[in-house]
Amino acid sequence: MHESFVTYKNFYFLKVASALTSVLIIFYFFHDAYPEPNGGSWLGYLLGILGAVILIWLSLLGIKKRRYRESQGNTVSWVSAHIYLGSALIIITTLHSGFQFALNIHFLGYFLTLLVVLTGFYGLYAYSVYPDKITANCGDLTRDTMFDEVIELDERSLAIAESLGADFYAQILDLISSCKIKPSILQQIFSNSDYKNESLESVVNRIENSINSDNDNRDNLKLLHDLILEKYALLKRIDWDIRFNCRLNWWLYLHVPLTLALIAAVTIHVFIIFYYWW
Amino acid sequence: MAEHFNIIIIGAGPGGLSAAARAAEMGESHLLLEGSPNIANTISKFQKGKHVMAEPAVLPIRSKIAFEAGTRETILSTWNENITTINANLKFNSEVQKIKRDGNVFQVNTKDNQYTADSIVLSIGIQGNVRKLGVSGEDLEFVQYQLDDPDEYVDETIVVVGAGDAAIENALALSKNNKVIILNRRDEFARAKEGNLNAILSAIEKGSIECVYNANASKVTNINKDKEAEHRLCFEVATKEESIEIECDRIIARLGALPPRKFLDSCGISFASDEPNSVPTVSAKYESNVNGLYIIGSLAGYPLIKQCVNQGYEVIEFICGRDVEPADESLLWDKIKHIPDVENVNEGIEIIRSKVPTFSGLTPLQLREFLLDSDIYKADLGQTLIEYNDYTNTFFSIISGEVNIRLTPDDPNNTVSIGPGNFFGEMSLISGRRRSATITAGKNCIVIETPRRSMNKLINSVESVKRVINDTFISRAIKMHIAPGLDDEEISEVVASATLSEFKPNEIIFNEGDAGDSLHLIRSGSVTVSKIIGGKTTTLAYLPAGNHFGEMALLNDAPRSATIKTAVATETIVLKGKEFRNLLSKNPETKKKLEALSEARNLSNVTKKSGQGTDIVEFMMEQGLGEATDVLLIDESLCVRCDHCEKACAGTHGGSSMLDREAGPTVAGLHVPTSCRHCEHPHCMKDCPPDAIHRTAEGEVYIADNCIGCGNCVRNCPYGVIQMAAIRKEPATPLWKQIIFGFDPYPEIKDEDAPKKAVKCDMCKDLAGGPACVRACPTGAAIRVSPEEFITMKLQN
Repeated sequence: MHESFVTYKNFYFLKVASALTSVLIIFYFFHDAYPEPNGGSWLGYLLGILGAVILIWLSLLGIKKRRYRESQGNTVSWVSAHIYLGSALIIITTLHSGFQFALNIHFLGYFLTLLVVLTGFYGLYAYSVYPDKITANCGDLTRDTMFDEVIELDERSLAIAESLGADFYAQILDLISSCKIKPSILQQIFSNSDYKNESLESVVNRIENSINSDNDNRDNLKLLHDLILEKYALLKRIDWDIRFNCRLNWWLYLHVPLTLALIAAVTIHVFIIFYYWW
Repeated sequence: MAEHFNIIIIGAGPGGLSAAARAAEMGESHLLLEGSPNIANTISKFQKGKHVMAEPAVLPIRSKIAFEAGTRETILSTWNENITTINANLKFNSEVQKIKRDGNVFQVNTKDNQYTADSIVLSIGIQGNVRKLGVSGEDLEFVQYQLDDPDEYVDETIVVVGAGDAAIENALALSKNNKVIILNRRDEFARAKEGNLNAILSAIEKGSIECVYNANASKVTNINKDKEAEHRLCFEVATKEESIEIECDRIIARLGALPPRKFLDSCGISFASDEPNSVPTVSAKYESNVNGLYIIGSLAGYPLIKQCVNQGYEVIEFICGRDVEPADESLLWDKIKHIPDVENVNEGIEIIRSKVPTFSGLTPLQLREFLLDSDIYKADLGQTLIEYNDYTNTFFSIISGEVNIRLTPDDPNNTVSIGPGNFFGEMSLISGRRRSATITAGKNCIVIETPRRSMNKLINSVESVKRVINDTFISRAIKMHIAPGLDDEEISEVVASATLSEFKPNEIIFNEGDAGDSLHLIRSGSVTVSKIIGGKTTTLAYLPAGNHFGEMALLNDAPRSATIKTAVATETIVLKGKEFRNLLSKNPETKKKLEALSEARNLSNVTKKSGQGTDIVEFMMEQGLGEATDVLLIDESLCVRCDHCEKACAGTHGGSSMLDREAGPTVAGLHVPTSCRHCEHPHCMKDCPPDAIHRTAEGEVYIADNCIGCGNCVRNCPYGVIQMAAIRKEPATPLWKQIIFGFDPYPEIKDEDAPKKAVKCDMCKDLAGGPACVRACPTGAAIRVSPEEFITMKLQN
């Protein structure tokens, strides 16, 4: 019953985009441009206009998806069209360029188009991979409930530590303030190792040693040991949750600004073309 | 020499004030005596800020004492103003100790004075006589029988005694800042409203309130101050097993109130019975058995404030020899005038009682109250009264003419007619499901259309109505679902033997392999059908109300072929084997149809794989989807956690999201967020004082603007999908800021004191495209489906 944006209406927009690009490619090869294929032929203009219109339409998604009160239409159909027509833009702009590349403002537009679409491709990958990973990592818990549990575990640990003496109490207090989860952006995107906290591990080691030597407090020490390990496991999950969510979304921070830059570059490109024409 | 008045009114509550106001207005010599130092003693003792209702809403107020729903404080200040402007003769601190008839006049004694009067109006209510603990120490300091402002007490240990709504509301309010122990004389909270019941049970479970069941107070003593004790009072309590001592700082007993029998007896007033809560008998003009002594308000059995206020006005009119029409007369006439050849309300009431057997057992007074909520109208020939598949749930009674019931949804000519005295619409009322047939008006059709709430109230309070409706429901359900085409006589034996059974949620009705000699027709609720296949319990089907099960065992005398378990609280009509077989032997057609159905069910069961679809069905049933009509389901593998569903919900509902995407359980990648399921019998509707929760014909359950913010629905909803939200005035964050900076369109409101109303999902009933949450989802992860469809699909694939 769920229909994803990729398979929406039986790949309707994939079919539309493929048909459109196929027709354009055929035109390109049968088109006799002088002296060589370029943006200034009638087909070149057609491709340019088409590309610009698609670009503007694609960027309107940001507005459309926030118009909640509109009584018709689904965002999912827009997104489906967005990914397939966006992909088609690579072919359309390449054909528009006539494969003439040089380091100038016109090429900047082409280059930005590629970047925008590529970040979009990453987005597609992220959207298909990370939702499942987040679910597997969190289960029924949300990040807030995991934090709540950590706080509760801290409180219980402190209560037990208090009965074990001032030294333990101070250690646990230190440990609590040292447990910070703050992965850097690079770690969030690239690191694949679990969250590691050395002071937590050393406290666990110390408790393990005491369990062997301190017969009187063995039960309490064991309980404290388990609570801290439980907290450690939760911290690892929270850390992964932060990373997965970042990986799910960081590309948008490139995709959207790059789109704005692209629109600016295309505007300049169009302006220059017409300036020289007149 | 005692001062003489034409009328002495005793008790300055809403009734007394209104009577005094009318007397003053008409220039009658009068005196209003009040025992306490202020007006409306009962209402001033309500909890601070309590919202006071003005029921019945349609009834007009005819007194100079204004009254509309509002907080305790506004109502009291309005009355104070009213009574000063009207110049009523009012004496505070004048508790009446004796009323004696002396020839033609009454002698009235207070502590300091003596008066005489021609007529007396008693409007003292019953709250002046609160039930006390009845043990030694009941009047000690810190033992109290009311609670004004729960926030006055902080960090105390407080024992609340009682199991009614007042006790529970006090205990809950106090538990925020204090340690609270509630003493319940019984082993459950049977008298409480459902919302309060749920709230207290969950507070007890969470440990925020401690409860002692089967507890009877034995003694209260002060704890000696020298002992440096932590608490002030020692409360001895006997439970079933032992006697315990509870040390506490305060005891608040909320044990209700009784009519002051001793005082009334001394005035010579006679009562309806010897029961302690029995009220005095009064005439239609409120006169008691003592000539010239009138009783109004809750002491006469009319507990609603609006009634008291109107009676205060009316009683003065009666005393002065002027006849007044009841306050609801013109309202009722507007309805009743649609009945032809009827001259006045009383005639109309009598016609309805004689023509509609369902209502013949009601007293005229009951029928008047009932009709106040209903509509009476003449329907045009062919006018659709009920549309097939709609979710409406009103109840219709035919006064005259006839209606046509369509037997097949698409064929307007295949109909049967029912005539005057009959009723229809009970199917949806009872099962909570869509209308099962289209019904149109025939010639000269005049009907009474009654809303769900009033009809349920009547069914629950008048046994004869309940019986008639149940019997009709059974015979119609049999005719509709099991034996179409048979007439009443043919099924009469089965109907007579049919019984109603009630089952709790997750109760097994029968197990696979049990011997079976009955067929169940689901009246309300739903069940799952499962079977052990390949060693695993495998769910075969989900059956909502209107379906039947158990026919296989009846047809071929075999043991039960599957296990039936309820998904939610369920009622079934049980048809006995012997009578049912008789019916089948006489009607081979019916038998053939049942056999065909049974075979089809068998066939689909054979192709089942072991365990297939069971997890998901079990999970959905655990989430209470067995009573849902529509549910939001998120496919976690598609959900990119963008929360656009929530933002869309907020964006279409004044800034408050009614769904919590993240909260809620997940199984096999399917997530049920906290969002309304639009239940068949919405729990939220149960106890809504202003009757603000309704269902549209399409099925959406929504809260109308007349919500008073009491929070009953929030407490009654077992799925936690209704919130109290402040009404937003700020506009949303501008779109460009949302896009460029990613700002939240509706940042959270911090003002905790802002007035709040209940908000819940209304399925965006005003948006043509359907629910915004689903339409805003960029990846197709969110869908809204009927659980019935979804489960059927899951079980098939």
